[in-house]
Amino acid sequence: MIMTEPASRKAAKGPPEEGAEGAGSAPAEETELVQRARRGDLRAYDELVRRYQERIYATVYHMTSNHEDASDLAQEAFIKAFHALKSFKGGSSFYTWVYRIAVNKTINFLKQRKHKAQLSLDDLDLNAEHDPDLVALISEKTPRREISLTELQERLNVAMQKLSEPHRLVVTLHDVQGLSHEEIAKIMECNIGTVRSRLFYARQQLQAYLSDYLK
Amino acid sequence: MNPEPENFERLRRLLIVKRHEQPPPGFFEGFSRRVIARLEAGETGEAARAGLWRVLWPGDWLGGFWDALERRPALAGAFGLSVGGLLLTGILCSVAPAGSGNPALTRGSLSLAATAAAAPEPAEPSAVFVSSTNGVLPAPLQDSLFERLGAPQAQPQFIRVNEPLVSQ
Repeated sequence: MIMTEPASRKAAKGPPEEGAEGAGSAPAEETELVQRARRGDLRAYDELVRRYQERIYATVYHMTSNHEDASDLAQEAFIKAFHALKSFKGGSSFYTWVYRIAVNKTINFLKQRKHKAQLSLDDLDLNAEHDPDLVALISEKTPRREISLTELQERLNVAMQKLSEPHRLVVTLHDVQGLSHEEIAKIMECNIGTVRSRLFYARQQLQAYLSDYLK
Repeated sequence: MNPEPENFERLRRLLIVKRHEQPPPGFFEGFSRRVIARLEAGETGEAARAGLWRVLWPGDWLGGFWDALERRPALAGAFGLSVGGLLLTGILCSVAPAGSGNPALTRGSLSLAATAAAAPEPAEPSAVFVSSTNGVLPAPLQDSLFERLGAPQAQPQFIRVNEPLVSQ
């Protein structure tokens, strides 16, 4: 299973399409769920949580590189979103809105964290060993060709943690989760040019940190 | 800045590893249930603060102030200085109240130390500084220990031990 693509929920598959936002474009079913949740219907909110839990968790996890923190923060983001539903005006999709809450919460958490927490990494799924891109990357005749997937995962997470929060976030959203520049700009509340420049700088830094694996 | 010429293809392929990371099996099956349970328990989604602080000061404004102190060392320093200044002022005011005129207390206070040094020594040494090894007897002290001994209420009971016992 790939975390960015929830397997069980049709509505949550894949990142939202570009330009698919706006009050009128949200699926009617989701709008109904949001309205019911706003009236205090926890069953409706449970359905909303199930739709987006995997992607919200994944984003927070990639930002913190720690499963326990990601679990707490993702839950707290959904709880906070529920209490803030009355202020949700529908100007963006519920998904983007709750995403923004989770991202802000995570960035605040990372700023307050005094020191780098120990990595508490999720396991790689079995598909990783059969991913053609990864197989090609690891089997290439490089000085690091003997590297294991687990070691690669750890080095990658260490390198990610060296990035500043905004740079880590933009790499997570774009290169890991596959969101568009426009979608990231809405989540981060900045313009697309800022997203592009942050992405470029973040990739440059990552490339330098991981130069051993990219020769 | 033009990001196009830079080739990040290998890096992007490397980042695919991140997509294969997954939480423990079954994690998402109970996720929404945990969220709903916390909502039913009345949680607001704010992170739990350090235990004792939260117990003592549950107010949001105080928590926010504490967070601000943690984030801004300069603010924390200024706050510490002001608290320290207030504490020092309080100590000085309590040790040397205005118009007390007690020389022993005056000597002990910091703010009036210079004044005490400049002023002439009192003609009668304070009882505090009388030494039993001093060969020169000081002038009689007002309210000295001996006078106190003469007072009936200050008469210690053990002095009678040395008197001849009538019963024997």
